Amino acid sequence: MRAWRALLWKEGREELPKVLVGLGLCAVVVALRQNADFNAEFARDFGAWITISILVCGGVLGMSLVAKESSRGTLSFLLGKPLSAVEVLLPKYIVGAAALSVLAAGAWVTVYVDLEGLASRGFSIYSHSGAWYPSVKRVAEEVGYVNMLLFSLTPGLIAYSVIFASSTMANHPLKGAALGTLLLIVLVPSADNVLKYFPALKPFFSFNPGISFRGTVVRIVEDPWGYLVRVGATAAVMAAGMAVSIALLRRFRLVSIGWKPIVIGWLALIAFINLMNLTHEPSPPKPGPLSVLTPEEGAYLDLAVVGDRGYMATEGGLAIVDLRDPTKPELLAAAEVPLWLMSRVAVVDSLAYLLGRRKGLPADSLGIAVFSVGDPAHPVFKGYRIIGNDIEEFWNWDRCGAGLILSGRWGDKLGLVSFALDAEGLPARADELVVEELPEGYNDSPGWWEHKLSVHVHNERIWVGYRDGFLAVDARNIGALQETVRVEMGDYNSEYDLHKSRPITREGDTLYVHRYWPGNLVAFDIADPNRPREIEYWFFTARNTIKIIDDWVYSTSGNGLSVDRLTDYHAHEYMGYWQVPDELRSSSSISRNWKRLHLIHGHFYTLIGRSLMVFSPEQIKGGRP
Amino acid sequence: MATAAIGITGLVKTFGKHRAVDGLDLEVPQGSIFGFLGRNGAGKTTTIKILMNMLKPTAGAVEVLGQDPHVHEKELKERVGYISDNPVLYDWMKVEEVAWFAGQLYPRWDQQKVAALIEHFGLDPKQKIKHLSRGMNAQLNLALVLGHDPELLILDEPASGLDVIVRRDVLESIIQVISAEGRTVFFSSHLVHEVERVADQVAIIEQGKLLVCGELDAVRQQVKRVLVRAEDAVDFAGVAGLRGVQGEGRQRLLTIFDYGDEAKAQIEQAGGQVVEVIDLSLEDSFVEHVTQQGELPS
Repeated sequence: MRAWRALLWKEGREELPKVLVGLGLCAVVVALRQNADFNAEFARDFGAWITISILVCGGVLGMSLVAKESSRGTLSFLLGKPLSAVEVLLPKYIVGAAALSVLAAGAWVTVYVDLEGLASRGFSIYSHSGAWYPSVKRVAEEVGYVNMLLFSLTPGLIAYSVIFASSTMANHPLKGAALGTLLLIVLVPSADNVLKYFPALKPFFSFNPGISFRGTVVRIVEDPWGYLVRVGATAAVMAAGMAVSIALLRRFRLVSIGWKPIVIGWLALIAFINLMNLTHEPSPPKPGPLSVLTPEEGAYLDLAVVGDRGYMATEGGLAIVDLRDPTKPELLAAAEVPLWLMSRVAVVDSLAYLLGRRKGLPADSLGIAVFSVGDPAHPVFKGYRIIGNDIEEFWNWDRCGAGLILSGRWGDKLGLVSFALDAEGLPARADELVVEELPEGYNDSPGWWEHKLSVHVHNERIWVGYRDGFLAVDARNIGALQETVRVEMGDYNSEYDLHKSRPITREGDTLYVHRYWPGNLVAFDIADPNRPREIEYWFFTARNTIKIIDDWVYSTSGNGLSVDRLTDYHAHEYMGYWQVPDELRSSSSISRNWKRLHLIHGHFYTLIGRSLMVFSPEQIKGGRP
Repeated sequence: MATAAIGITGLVKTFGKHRAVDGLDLEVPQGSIFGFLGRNGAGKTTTIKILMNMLKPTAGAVEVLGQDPHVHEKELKERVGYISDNPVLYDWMKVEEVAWFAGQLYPRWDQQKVAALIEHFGLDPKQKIKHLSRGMNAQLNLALVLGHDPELLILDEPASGLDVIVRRDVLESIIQVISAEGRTVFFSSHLVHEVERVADQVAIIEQGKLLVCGELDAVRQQVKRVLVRAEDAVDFAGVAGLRGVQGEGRQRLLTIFDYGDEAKAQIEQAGGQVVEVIDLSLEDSFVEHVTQQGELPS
């Protein structure tokens, strides 16, 4: 015990200057955060910088603890004493890990000492992908100091362990670092390869005690076993590093590895990477759309499909297209509604309902123009109904049974408005259902217009993705919408966050809902629609518009269509991407994310840019659907 | 080997293709002050590191105080004091701190004795190691190596790198402080003078092989220089133990191993007349031994 105490004292004294320097730097960062420009940069990238800094600190501590003794000659002093290899190494290892933990703790203090300073910063810059990203302040608050610390400390400790083990064979810290980094570069992808062949091991490779495989934060009070498993996995890697170090010291004692094998190892690695690059076949060009239909003026803004006919909202009115030949969608007719700006379309039987705003004073009013499309070549305007100007924003416009359903915002309420059809087929506002109320001051925050609901209508039941989860609405009586179940996803969202709608889609009796953070697609069994039951999840950042067919996910992404396959063990495999040529792209893809995706006769139809586009699954590997 | 402090049998250590120790056999009697002589690179430090279980032997066996250092490493190191060839201490520590630290690593430690030795050497306990001279550092190492009252001291080049005055001080310390207590001292050196001053037993190795081993006087007297008067044509090639002939003409200086009556008779039989038999110093004897193995630098 005396020896342990003395060795811990010695190691502590030797590492103390490094810890003090690190904490001093943290103090400098805290002071610098008082500067607005610095604080803005800090808020943007602190997660990455802290993680990288901890990795570097892990490397610096790991490379020097043993190799420094060897390089300055004091290892002979220790090995000349009645000490076992464990006694020589373990105090070093413990002190190094403790020093790294203290540095990591100090690094995160720089964040949590001023959470308000992070408030202005969101990851909305990434919103072009359609993904939802919370504000950094919100993430920091929700995850909490301890989990953030563990989250970033884990890779640091693993790097520390590998480099520590390597430095046992080195007589200079740089050798330890060079060998350890080489091993990390080789081992990390190797672990990936191991998982490819033994995917069942995947859950055990989650060394992150802060976040579960479900993508939620594991708090020890909520899931003590899960927490312990993850702490144990990290501890196992560290114990393995320690065991290797002890074995190396026992076996090789004062013998150290030379630069020659290290340099040869690095050269071999570089050669291997270059060889792989040389022999790697370039990715085949991404296929484009099979066919494209572009209006001479304006843009196609919404697409409803009935049978082989496509009905599209144009700015000026309605366009009807024959979809029987996917290689050549043929425009059958176009009809204008003067003085109206149309943007949505829904079809009920032989009537098409165009939703838009009437131009003119005193204020724009929301209205519905009705066309008879019994003869698709000759649509007949039947009239319109003004439905008021209280609905300030609207998103989905769908047929629902014998009526119509609109999702939108009126005042501080987000919800559904239903329309019943009279004998003439003309719509009348029938009922409304509030899904959520926005907090006070919601419109003080720029970008609130982004906040919206996502809707999937099936068999007179409406599934609505909203801020905190999803709900089901029984719409059999269109005049009396009835919420039947509401499920909170338990993920992160904030009244301060600028975000997109929560993607939601259905295939058979499975409902797929996006869990915002850190990005899951969650499957619910809705055989009993009043009791949705979570059955599976995948790491997948869902876009706003997705369609799932037999575990294949088709999603509009940027200016194209992504194809992924959901696989076992919560993973997904990227299968391909249809790339839209530059000249057909939208200048503002963000606003196009709501656009629909239809599967007709084995081909996908969607609107991108100004155009209707058809994509053939045969162009993508796997040939789905 | 049971009574030997150190026993080495057929020891081989290779580093790649290089054989640092090549079939070494050696026995160090208990209670002796044993000088382990050899040129730089002869294999002394490698041998000592194997004795201290800091290197693994390629072949052969070693015993220290009757035990295998690989198997009984910890127990042995409680009984053995060791100073390496590059005895670096933690330079940020003070003298008293390093004395405390070293003491904590042993189950038995006489701090008073170490403090007395530190005082004896005139070292300031409050002084930082980095401010000590090389000589003071060597003296501090000597003090530290005695704190656990070791039965055997293994010192690897204890006076190497020191100037003449300090070296003498250190050697005096070894004689006064260490050997006076009757413990076995095994120390290596390439400086023959220092070994001659201190050791009562010596071994000389070259290229990892043992050349000679025994009591100091015996080793020293194993080689003689014999001044011979003879005619020009006389050839002494047949003289037993002859290692070299210097000079030409009527006076020759023969170097002969194990010179005795037989060699004297052979010289006279060849036509020579022994004028004087000259004893060699250990250094000369060392040189003669080593040059038999390879070329010495001029």
